[in-house]
Amino acid sequence: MSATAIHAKHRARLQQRQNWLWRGILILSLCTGGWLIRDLEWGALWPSAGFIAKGLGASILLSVLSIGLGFLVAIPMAAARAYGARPLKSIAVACIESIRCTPELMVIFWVYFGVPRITGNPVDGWFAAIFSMTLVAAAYMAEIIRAGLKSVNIGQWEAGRATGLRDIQIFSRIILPQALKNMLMALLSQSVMLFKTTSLVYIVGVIEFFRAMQIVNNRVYAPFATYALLAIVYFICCWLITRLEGLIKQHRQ
Amino acid sequence: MTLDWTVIWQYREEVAKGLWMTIQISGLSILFSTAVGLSIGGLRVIPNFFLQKILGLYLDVIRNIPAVVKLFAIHFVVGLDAFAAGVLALSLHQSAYIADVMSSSLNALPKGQLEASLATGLSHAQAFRRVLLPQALRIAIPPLSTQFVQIVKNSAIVMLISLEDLTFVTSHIQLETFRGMEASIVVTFLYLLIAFAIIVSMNLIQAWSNRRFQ
Amino acid sequence: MHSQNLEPQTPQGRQATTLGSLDSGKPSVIRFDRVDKYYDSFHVLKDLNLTIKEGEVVVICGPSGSGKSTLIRCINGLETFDAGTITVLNQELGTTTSQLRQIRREVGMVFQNFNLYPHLNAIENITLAPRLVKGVKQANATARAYELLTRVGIADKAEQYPDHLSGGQRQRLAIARALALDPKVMLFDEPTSALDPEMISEVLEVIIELARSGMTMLVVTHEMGFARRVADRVLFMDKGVIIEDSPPDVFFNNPRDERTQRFLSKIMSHT
Repeated sequence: MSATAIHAKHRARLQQRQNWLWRGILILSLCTGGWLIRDLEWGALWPSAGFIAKGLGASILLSVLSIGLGFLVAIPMAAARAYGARPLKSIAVACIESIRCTPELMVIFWVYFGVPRITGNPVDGWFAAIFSMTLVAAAYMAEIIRAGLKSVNIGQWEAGRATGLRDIQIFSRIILPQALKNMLMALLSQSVMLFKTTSLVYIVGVIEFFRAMQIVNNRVYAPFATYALLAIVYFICCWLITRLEGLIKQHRQ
Repeated sequence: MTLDWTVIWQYREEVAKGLWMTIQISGLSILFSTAVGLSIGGLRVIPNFFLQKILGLYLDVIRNIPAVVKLFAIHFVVGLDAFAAGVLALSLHQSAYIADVMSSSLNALPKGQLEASLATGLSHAQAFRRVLLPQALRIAIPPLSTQFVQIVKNSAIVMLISLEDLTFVTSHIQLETFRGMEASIVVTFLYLLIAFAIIVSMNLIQAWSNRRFQ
Repeated sequence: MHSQNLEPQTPQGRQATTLGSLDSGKPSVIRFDRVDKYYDSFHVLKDLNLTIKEGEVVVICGPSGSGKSTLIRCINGLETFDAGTITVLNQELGTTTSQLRQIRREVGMVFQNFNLYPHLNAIENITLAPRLVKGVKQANATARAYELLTRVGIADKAEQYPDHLSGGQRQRLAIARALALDPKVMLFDEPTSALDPEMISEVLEVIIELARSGMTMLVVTHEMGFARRVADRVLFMDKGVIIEDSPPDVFFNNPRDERTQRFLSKIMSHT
């Protein structure tokens, strides 16, 4: 660390220049990257573009469904763990922690192998996929929501009770909205993670993005292009959600 | 629905082998990802603009690509054998998160620690090694514990490249005997056992470090 | 003992004070020449000039935000500055990192919040820097550490960890740690501000003993009794400018500037 004799205004200008330089470097490397990989076997993949797009659509649909359903399931689970009496709380803890500590693949197997045994009928892949992804989503989001509930000032409960509101009303109208606002960032991060996890459901026969690419690759043998495309698409999807997070944070301030 | 446990007993050797495979992969991945993650996390506190941007980009890329994609790419495209590919993919994946744990632990330290060590003439490297790192590692033990459990969970994906770990055994048992439910119960129990062992060990390490450093 | 040149006040009321002792025997240890510093657009040090001679004990006081902490933190490079030159022990600050490290071996600093290393015990806190920076052998370093602990009065706490020490003991340990490198200059950044009142005097006694032993010291503090006892000069800073620079008897009884008087009345009213 050497003492600089640069005036403060210069320092700010330097930072700005560094930022632009970095953006320039990024764009340049993207362009060179694009130039370098243009020789990959994209042509082989192109005919199957529709199929691949359908796969991507399936991934997104699956993610949206399981995040939505998982969220709805997570709210009572979180409430049970946060406010429940001893027995209820222990059940909630057991459910949440056992799902959180088992591999996602095993949860998929649980649903896929276990449900038919209970109901006597086989399950179709999509059902198993949605069910298991919802369970995983619910378990993780329950923890986040629980943290959110705890972060709401206890005075809010007191204010609600003092005006004669019932607990369930206080919870749904006063506590929960505040908790969700606090936890929005964490929930979005969790959604990114869930989107990535959907790549596992192909094991039960669902043709989502990852599996679609594999099928195409097996047919036309274009491994470099395949994995390059996989990496790029996943990166862009996740990065978009992260940018959304950033925008929301800025908008808040 | 009746549960037939004898099937599992028949397959006990396979289950044991699967358990060993899971432990091996998880253990090695824990070692490598921690080594890499701690180093990168340490680098994250150097205030050089371009270094931080590059590191940030690298970590973003690793984080945003699913572990399975990395696994398959390393195994099928780069060509490593399944075991090596599994360890490498898992380590690479988790090192990004561990780097985050490390850099937030370092940032949680009071600024005065660095100032005091620099004020007595220590170099940045010396201050890092002797003053900042020991304290940051202590703070990092709980989140590292979570990360290690994550590694154990993620290790299940190696079954997709036919590595015979616990999850593979479950699927195998289902295919041969249709007793996947029982297998799932036993295997889940084993995974929980491993996770529990990790959490308990980390708690012991935390207690030991608290005693030693008062 | 000192004679001072004060330039006449400019109509705007700003003064640039160039102080220095005229006894040529004492070399200048620290010199600020027209130093400016900005935090973003906040001008925290304004065209600052200051000279400190070997063996001088200088106390700096002033309201918060006046730049006094920034001033002493510039001396050992914990803060950078934007214009002018700072010369410490005949080296101009700002050329290389290794030069900065060299200066830091000769300049000791004591912080308001102690900044002791919680994971090391008292002896280890003291011996860390001498071993790593000066290559002193463990045995010698430990022996010297015991000497220092005795000097500051906590020899019985040698094996204790900082969080088992009281505030006053911690700051004394911090002083011992700073002395471990045999510095030529000691900087104190509000050393007693974070202490409970009953522990302030034990720390001040150590600092006074240090001053009487001939150490060149710069102390940022509000402890005016201390200033009266040991300071050779007392400086009053406000808004990045040194308003007053006088020996204690002048400073307290007959301050030159009206702003000094106002400040003094404010802090004296509750001592």
